[in-house]
Amino acid sequence: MVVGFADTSVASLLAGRHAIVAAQGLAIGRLLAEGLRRHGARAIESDAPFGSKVDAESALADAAHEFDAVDLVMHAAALPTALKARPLDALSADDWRSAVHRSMLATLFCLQGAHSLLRKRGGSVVVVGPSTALVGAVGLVPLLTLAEGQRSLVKSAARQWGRHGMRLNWVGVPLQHYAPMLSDAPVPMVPELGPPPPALCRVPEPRTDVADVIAWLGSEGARGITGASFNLDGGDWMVP
Amino acid sequence: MNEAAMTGSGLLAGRVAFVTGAGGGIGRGIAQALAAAGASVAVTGRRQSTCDDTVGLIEAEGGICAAFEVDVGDEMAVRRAIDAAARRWGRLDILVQNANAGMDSAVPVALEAVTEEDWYRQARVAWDGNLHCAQAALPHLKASGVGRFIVLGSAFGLHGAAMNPVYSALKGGDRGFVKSLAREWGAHGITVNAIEPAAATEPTEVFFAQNPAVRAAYLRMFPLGRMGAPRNDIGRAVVALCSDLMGYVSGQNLPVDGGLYTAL
Repeated sequence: MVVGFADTSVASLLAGRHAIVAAQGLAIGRLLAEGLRRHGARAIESDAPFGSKVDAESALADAAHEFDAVDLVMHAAALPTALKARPLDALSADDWRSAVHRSMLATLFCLQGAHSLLRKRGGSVVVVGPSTALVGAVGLVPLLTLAEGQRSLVKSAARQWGRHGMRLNWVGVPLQHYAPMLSDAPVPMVPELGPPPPALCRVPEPRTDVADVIAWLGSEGARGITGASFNLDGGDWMVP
Repeated sequence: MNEAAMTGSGLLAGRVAFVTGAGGGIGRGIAQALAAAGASVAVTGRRQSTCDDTVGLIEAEGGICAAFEVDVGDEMAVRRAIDAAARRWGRLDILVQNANAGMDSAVPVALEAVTEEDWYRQARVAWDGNLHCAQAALPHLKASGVGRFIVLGSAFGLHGAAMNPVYSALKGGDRGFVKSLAREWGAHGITVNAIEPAAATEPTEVFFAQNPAVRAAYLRMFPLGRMGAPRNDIGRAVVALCSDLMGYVSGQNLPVDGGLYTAL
């Protein structure tokens, strides 16, 4: 568990707020936690694997023990078996189950743990996934099945738990940031005639561009936003 | 419009289809529609008796079909059944993965109470079924030259229903599966799509019987004023997607829901 304190040199959407970043070992968790601290949050990183509801509740409760209350839970989950590119017909049943089921259960348990923490006073939950999930990619059927499953689960949770003041949203990030080991995966390009740069001519950075959006989702300014999907690909696909 | 045009009679002449979850509901309607369009249909499901009932309905109309008792969560059983169907009719062109775990779509579930067992009970049919069907069907669909792989998603997977979060998540995951597999299998000439139906089926009828006040309010949400019929609305859409008319459509998630979901 890593505890960090706010960087007071930047705008502070989350001043005085407390965040738990539970990214199940994905490196992007560290970058996003740093980004949340830039916004004034006290952010704790919890990399404990969520193999059960008890695991998740215990890990989140341990993290929350550092705080009076938790305002934001940020989560991402994809086991290593989900982070390999290979054709579906070359995938073993065991790898499939690990990639999609165990990863999905980690998300289910994390959301349940977040519910235990936030149901009395509300708060924000942000689940991060690869933006490629919105368009599909060769060799990534398990990861992108998982990611779309997580995105739909967030919507259902938002509908069920909104009455507790809980807001749940999904943020899609470029695959090279979500899973750097897949940087060479054949991610589809938007169908332009000619080289198709993202509208912003750059790929959003986790620590700044992505964390800024998550910080906003955790702030009072986003109090009317739940069940939404934010595709932070720099204006690449502009999905309907 | 004449009956042949309405049913797509002849559109799938000579094609062979394998339909999971065809012992009732939408799967039965799809199997009937495919057979009426001229396909030979492997009617598959977990219970031989319900598959036999579907076979009886199809054969009564002169359709060609056979029943196969298959649990799509069982990898080897799926492989055996798909190979057997391909042997029986000499080819396999269409795989429709429609199987679901029972009545889950219309059963209220509190997300905080979902257990690992709850997840696997539904996921082994929905997601593992997708995997098993895709892996076993691939050699046949490659050889077909007009291969079609269709997953039955759900409107619940699009909007993320509050009713049953596990079902919604699984149906949402189907989207990622279909989009990615379409990109992967395009080189083989196989189209991969999902249909997101809203149809009156056994689970919805049970739910409405228990919650009669909801029925009228729900039906008012449909611009076409009614829920879809498994055969005539959903099945015919599957026929169209399997036909040469829709041979250039792939990687899509097509709501067939009377105009219910328009947020795409």
